[in-house]
Amino acid sequence: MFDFYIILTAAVIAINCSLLGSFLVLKKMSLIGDALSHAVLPGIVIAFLISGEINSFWMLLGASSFGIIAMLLIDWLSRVGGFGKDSAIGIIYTLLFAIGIILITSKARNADIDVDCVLFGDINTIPLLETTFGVPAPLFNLIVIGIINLVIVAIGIKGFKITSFDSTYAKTLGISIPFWTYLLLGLSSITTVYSFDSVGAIMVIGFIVIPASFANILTRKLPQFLAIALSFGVVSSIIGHLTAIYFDIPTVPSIGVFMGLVLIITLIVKGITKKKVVLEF
Amino acid sequence: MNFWNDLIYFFSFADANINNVLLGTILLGFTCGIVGVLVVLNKKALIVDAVSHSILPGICIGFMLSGVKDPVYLILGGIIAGAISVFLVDWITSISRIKKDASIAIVLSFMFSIGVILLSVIQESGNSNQSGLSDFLFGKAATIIESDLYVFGFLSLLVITVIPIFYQHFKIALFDPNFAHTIGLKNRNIQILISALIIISTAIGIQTVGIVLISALIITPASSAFFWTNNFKKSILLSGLFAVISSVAGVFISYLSPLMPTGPWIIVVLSTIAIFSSLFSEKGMITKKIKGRKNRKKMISDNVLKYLYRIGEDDNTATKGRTFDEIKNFRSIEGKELSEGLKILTGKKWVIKAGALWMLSEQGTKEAKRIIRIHRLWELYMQKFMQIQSDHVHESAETIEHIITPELEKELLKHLGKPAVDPHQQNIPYED
Repeated sequence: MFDFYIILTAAVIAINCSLLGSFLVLKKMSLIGDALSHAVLPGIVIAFLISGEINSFWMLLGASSFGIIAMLLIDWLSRVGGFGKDSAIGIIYTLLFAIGIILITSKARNADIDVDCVLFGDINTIPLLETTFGVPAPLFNLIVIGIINLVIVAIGIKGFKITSFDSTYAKTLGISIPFWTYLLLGLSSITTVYSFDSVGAIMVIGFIVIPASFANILTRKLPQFLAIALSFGVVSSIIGHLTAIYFDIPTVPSIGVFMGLVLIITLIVKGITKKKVVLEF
Repeated sequence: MNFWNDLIYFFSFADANINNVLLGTILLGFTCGIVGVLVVLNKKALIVDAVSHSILPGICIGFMLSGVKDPVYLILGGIIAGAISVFLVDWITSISRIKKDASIAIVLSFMFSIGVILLSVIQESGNSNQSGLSDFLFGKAATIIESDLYVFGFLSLLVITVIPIFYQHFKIALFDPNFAHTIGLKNRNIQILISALIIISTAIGIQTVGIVLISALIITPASSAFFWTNNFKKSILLSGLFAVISSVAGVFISYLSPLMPTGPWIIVVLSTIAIFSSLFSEKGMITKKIKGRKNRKKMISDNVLKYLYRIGEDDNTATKGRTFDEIKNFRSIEGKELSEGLKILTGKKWVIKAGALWMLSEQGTKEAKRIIRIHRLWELYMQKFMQIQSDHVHESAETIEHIITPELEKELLKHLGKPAVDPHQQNIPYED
């Protein structure tokens, strides 16, 4: 049961992240996901300091509010403040992450939340945690979020699709691009927050971007795109964890290395079989 | 009092440990700060993230091969891994339709994963030297010792000397790539050089702020510097200065309160400088707003002054008192703006209020004449020297009348002589 829960947790995170990641990658917003996963840290720590527990409603509230604050600040700095978009993202997420780390090291020492957990996650403790309806609580939450994500994407698939592939066309149809963008970012930040303590702030971006990019090099049709991305995420979680057990190494980075290697090998194979490769340094 | 004692002791350079830490952070901060200008101008801000996360496996391999925490091996490993990451990011985008940002995210998480695995392998191997390797994640400014300084110092000085040597090359390649191309400057070589500088400064900068925050140490000071100057050289120096100030502040804060981590505090200070710059520098938001408000006030009061004069201009009663409605109806000006303008003008004593009447003072008349004179001189100049039809010149003159300085007025007079009338055959009022 122990390994099953770990694989299941990783797989559910992979499904959540690659589903939203597909649209983020198509919208060329991959790094916003990265920025969000770092920027929510102060929200998580503050909520933890107030409520005293991980995985509470307060944490979601704190993290979501910092996700929104980060988005607004990035938007404000780049639009009004005169910073380039890249710089604005870089400045805001590092600032918020730095504040989060300061709060952890100075206020929350020796508590359940620590710096290593923030960076690497703690997926191996999942099976040991309290259960909700017979499933470890964090896994249960992730499943609920997964269902919410799937339902919202299923209902809004048309809006997500048009705004991701052809924003000009979407505009002429009168579809609100900000609405779908912020819906996507909202779902992404909730997903990020709940994936956070399992896979860590840095690897979340791997789960978001690599499966979607893998799909991106294989297909241009959305149903296939999503199918490839999601199944790639799930298969990587299973193989990644099994490899981790075999070599006695941590699970989450094994999944990351597996995903990255498969992507790189696919690119090489595609490059050899298709056309001459032009390298540009 | 305790604070002052600490402050004095800290900056008295009496403590060798503090000196090492200070010297180290100043060198590293300055290096990252000046390279940042090249990074931001070259729009490479995001590649720093890929490089920094990729350095972790490099450091781990450097440690595994040497078996000791010798900074030479660690940094060398880091630099090689950083170079691989830059190559991978470019390779992925060149071979597939994966966009640059996704490519950066892929390389970042892939390389970092390798690093974390290697870190766990090292930790399990039981090598007693390994403690402290994970310091690279958040920086370890407080533990910089003399032997570290030689390595960082050498690389920092390398970067710091390369920039002035290739100063002209960078300037031309970054600001005018087309010109660079025509004079035979190989843009590819410059790009490689910049990438090399990014990799080296990232690898050494990680010592102070760590893997996640290093991109801020490089990008934030440069972004802040651009608010204060447009000059390439000045922005490089200013960016370096901002990074140094923040680094020293961060070290000092964690010296005062050992629970406070150095790296994150450096970043907090840096971001504060950035936000302050975006608000209060000459190009800043608030400065712009204040300037805008000042200009608006001047335009309103200039216009009111002009109207007051123009009502009676033709029958030589310019200095006669006028009622509020008389001025308001002369040109369609909003009542709110008119009262605002009158308030400013009475404050300056250019307009005097007598009962319900407003009239120009001697000083006010002089100023009103000046504005009208500039307006009409400009109209004439536009017609004569720019061949613009006389019915098209008013709009431009309406704007320029608030801007032209006495020196420019003299220039205008020099070109035009001392004309009596403007293109609309209206008299140009001169000082008597």
